[in-house]
Amino acid sequence: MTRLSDRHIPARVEFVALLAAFALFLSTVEYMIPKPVPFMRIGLANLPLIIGLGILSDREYFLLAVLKVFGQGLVTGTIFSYIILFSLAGTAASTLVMYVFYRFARRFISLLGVSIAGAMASNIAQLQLSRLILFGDAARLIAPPFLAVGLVTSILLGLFAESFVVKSQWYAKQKENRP
Amino acid sequence: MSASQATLLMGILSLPALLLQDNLLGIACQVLYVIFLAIGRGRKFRILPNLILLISVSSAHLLQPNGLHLVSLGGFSVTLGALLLGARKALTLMGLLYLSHFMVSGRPEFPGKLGKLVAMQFYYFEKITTGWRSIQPKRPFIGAIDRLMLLLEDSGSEPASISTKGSLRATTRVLITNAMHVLVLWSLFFAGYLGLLPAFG
Repeated sequence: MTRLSDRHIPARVEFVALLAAFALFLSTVEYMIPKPVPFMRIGLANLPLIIGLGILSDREYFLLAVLKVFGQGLVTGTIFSYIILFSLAGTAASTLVMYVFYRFARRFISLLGVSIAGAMASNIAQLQLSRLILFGDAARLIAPPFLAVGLVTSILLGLFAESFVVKSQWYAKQKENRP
Repeated sequence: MSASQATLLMGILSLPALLLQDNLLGIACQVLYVIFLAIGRGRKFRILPNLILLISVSSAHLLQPNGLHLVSLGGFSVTLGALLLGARKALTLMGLLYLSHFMVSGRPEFPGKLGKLVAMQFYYFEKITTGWRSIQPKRPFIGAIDRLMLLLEDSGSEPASISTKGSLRATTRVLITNAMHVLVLWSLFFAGYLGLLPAFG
């Protein structure tokens, strides 16, 4: 890609920053979509993480996850609050699970499956955290609706990601340039 | 020290005052104070999410009875200790959230490589939001995103715009104001700690 800035930062790292910015952009798009419940999230910002699996190296992929969490924390102002812990736990769990599924079971699982696995991992990590710092044992009461919503939204996101990697010219170009 | 760094430092120094607060009235006052600070910096305050947090965390704690029995609701006992513990926890979380909003309101710069990368991320974020406005039509969404990403690929080099925009230096007034915020939040902590504020339960 075209070099845009600091000469001390390699072009590939710049590309990761671009994808992280794309995640920020998608989270603002999601913010504008009306939701039936205030805390419901579609997880659009995870799209770069899903498509990044096919175009980033391992190191770049995990760097993208870190930048996504920090950037969102800064934009929403939650970086020094408990919310960043939920964001970190969810992103860390989903990133790791999606990475493992994509790298080691790619022949048996589509991006839809990767998306569902990532969302479930993220939701379980966040439920565990909410048990520890928010709700105690009552967290089990919110688990079924929380996981159900996560399942539905991850299916939608997975289908979107599948469609994106097939139709996008930009993605095809990045796939060719992958180191 | 820049003004945004002074605000960040103020927040870091005040965090323990909220985290260690044991008095319900004390934490309620601290929360009100940080909410006003955040609103003063242009952050929005919405009643509903905060109310949901307060009610859900408080009611979750009712599952573990603790202290004075207040009322029974269909075999489920509501206890004062559990209610107060839940409310205090929820208020602490709200306080931390709004303090965090206030701390980053000046968009502080972070040191090191990560700081540089975050700055670059925001540079691209601005480019994406600007570019998105020029993308027409915006449906289908995938096609629009694709055009946007290709547009960014083709955009030229603008090294100057990524550099940090020269944050304003903290004036004496800014430093004093921030020191006053720290003082208020710690005074409320000590007022609770020393029993100067009424304790419930």
